[in-house]
Amino acid sequence: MTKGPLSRNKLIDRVFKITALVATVVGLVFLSVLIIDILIDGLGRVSWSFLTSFPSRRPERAGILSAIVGTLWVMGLTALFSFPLGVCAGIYLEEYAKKGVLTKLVEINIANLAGVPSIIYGLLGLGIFVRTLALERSVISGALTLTLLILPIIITTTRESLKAIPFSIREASYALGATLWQTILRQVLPVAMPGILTGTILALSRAIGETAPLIAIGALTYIAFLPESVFDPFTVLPIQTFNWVSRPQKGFATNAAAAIIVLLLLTLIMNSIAIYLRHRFQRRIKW
Amino acid sequence: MDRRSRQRITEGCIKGILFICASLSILTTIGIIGILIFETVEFFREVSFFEFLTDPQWTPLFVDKHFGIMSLVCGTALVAFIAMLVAIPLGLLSAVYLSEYASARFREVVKPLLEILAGVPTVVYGYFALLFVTPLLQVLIPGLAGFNALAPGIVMGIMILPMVSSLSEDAMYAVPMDLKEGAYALGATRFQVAVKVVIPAALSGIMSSFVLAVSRAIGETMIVTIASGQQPRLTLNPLVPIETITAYIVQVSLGDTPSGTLEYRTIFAAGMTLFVFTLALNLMSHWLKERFREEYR
Amino acid sequence: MVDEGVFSILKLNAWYGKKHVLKEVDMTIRANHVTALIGPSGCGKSTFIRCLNRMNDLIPDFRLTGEITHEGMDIYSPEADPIEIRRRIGMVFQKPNPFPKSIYNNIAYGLRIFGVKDKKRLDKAVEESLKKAALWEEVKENLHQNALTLSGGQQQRLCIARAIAVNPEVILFDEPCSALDPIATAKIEDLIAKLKKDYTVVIVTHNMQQAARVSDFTGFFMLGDLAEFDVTEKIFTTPANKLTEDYITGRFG
Ligand SMILES: Nc1ncnc2c1ncn2[C@@H]1O[C@H](COP(=O)(O)OP(=O)(O)O)[C@@H](O)[C@H]1O
Ligand SMILES: [Mg+2]
Repeated sequence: MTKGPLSRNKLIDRVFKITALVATVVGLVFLSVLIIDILIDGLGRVSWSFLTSFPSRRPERAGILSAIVGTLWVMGLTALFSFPLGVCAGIYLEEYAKKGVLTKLVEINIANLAGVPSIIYGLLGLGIFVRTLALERSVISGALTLTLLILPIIITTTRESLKAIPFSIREASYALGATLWQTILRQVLPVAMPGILTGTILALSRAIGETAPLIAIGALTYIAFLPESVFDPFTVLPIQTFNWVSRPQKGFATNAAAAIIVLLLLTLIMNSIAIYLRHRFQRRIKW
Repeated sequence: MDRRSRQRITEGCIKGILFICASLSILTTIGIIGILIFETVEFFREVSFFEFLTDPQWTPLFVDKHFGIMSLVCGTALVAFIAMLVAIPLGLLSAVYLSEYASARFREVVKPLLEILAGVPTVVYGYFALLFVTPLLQVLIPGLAGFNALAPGIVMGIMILPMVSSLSEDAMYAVPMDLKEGAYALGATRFQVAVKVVIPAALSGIMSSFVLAVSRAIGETMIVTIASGQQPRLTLNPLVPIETITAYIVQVSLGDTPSGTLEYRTIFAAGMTLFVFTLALNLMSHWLKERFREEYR
Repeated sequence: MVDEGVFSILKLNAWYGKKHVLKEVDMTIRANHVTALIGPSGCGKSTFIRCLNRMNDLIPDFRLTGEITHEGMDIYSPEADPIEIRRRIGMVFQKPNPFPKSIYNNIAYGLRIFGVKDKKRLDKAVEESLKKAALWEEVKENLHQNALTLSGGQQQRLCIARAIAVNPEVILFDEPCSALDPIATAKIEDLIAKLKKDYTVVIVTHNMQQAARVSDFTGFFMLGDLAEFDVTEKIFTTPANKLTEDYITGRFG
């Protein structure tokens, strides 16, 4: 080969490398601009009274109290339902189910469920919880809908965490005359738990930002009271945000930005807990 | 031994409970399909399937009702197309960069940061598309309407970028080292190895990630609901307001539509359409991924 | 040999899927003696020993035919309960596998799953089994320390203590020293020699000196066949089978 094409190739390689680097960084630049834009728009509006006021027709007096309380209700119930259900389902599929055609089908089914658009879950919730079970547009309908939505994620993380436990631990337990359930409950699950918790919190942090399925089941966009039981109507932060974004007045857009800041903070806190858990326990156990 | 029989009963009960939890996922699928089919069948009692597919207008909420899903499908496809125009090149390039050029440290820092993009609630992106990207684009494109397909399309593209990037990177990472080494031994540059060896070898895995991204894009709701308007329109013009299937469902849900009415059923017919498309795409992505896995076993 | 053995194995055949790994094995294992199993790697020693307490049940495509009776009971008969069997026939594995818990909880686990809650009884069992496993002096101050912080040899003795704690009749060892240094190995060997007073011991080893040192009977496996089984001294001095002689004199394997 002569020197010419070689250096041309090198040049192409250089140019390509820079292009690819730029492409990689685009997403990060976008993220920073988004965060800065929202902070500029909304930070001035975040205040104690904003956090503790009900929504109002006058943007400067409106707040997110009912949205925050609604979010806490819905998320609390969602966690309460989805964690045990998802973990139990994961345990069954990983530890009990025979590896056959049926199990394979269930696996494909779960993978597909994870890809079903969230709005479709809203229609499911509307059809089953709101209408058929007549739970109406209540906190519990919302929580059940979100539970079904994140269940596939929790099942999958549970299975992955269980799979990561070395077989030797199980062997040791069986060799002492432990039953399958004793082995799972006392040896496998405790070791797998940090991984399962991490996955669950990440799933919940996804649920906290969900808007579409809750609108589909008819969560209200304007609520000037707090839910007192799980059968009361509710709103949540993303829905309140959506409501404000869709109004033309500038003041409401500012409120939306402020609500987004609170929402992002909540998600950030949940993600940090998850990451903390993962690191903390990863280091502790060495095989 | 008595102890053991009691233990056995407990074990059996526990297994039963676990099984019930696991079957919930099947019930969810049955529930989704059941509800959609039930309401859709009711819908087609009143609206002909032919009209549904061929009528150019979708105006179920007007006095002069038309039920042509194509204008919603068109809006959905338009936004998804724009999103893919953003996500595919950027995702593929960043996947190549991360798998072939970047240092381990760079990857370690940048990958989780990119993942954050996928974790931002979509209503936030909607806000950003409507109140930041659209005004910015209006400076560049004078004819751009306040609601349009372009801005939400771009923002959605960035949102699904991490998915394309990380799934493609996984596929490229799985390409056996000896294939690459063979090419390097012949004096190939990284660019040549990436384009001539790695991408072709990982193609079905990469395609799988694209298809999954399309599925994600057409199912995305809040960005388009907020930023693309609510005007079903059979157009490929990205500069005017349109409506997607998902945005339509939200639009109806926001009103107080009594169950059992035709308006109520339109959202299920629209939902069914959406479900069929996403399911087909998800299965296709799954199939491509399996094929990729088999190639490298 | 008379048939007063705790185990009698008759025409045992075993498969992983289609792979035939044990062929027509007959053996009698005597109570309160140490029986060693030797042979080149891959000849089926582990498979054999894991048949004795039904550990192979855990492997999906494993299958066996033939009969194994333990104290007169066919352990593969439909009435036999693998949980009960494993309780009576303990096992120590090649790689030490303590639970990622405290030393105390490692040992108490076997009793707890059997329903023992009484703290005094647990304390006593922990102390006694650690003493029998010759580990008590080293760890008595740190019973609540994580077991994974122990050295390899200590971990293996902990695993032995853990097996002893549930008071089994038989203890199976599958190459218990292959992951340990010579000093730790010597300690375990001493221990095994003492254990036969109270327990029946079966030990797989690839180390011929070890078999010669600790065992009363030795079985030599070759490609899934039990090529020879006899009193240890006889195996190592006047083997009947040419293959055995080649193996123990180090001509192959
Ligand atoms: N879980 C398994 N699945 C399939 N084959 C196995 C499995 N375990 C062992 N084998 C095979 O069975 C034969 C006997 O193995 P093993 O009993 O572990 O031999 P040893 O302990 O004497 O080295 C070997 O050929 C091994 O490859
Ligand atoms: Mg072995």
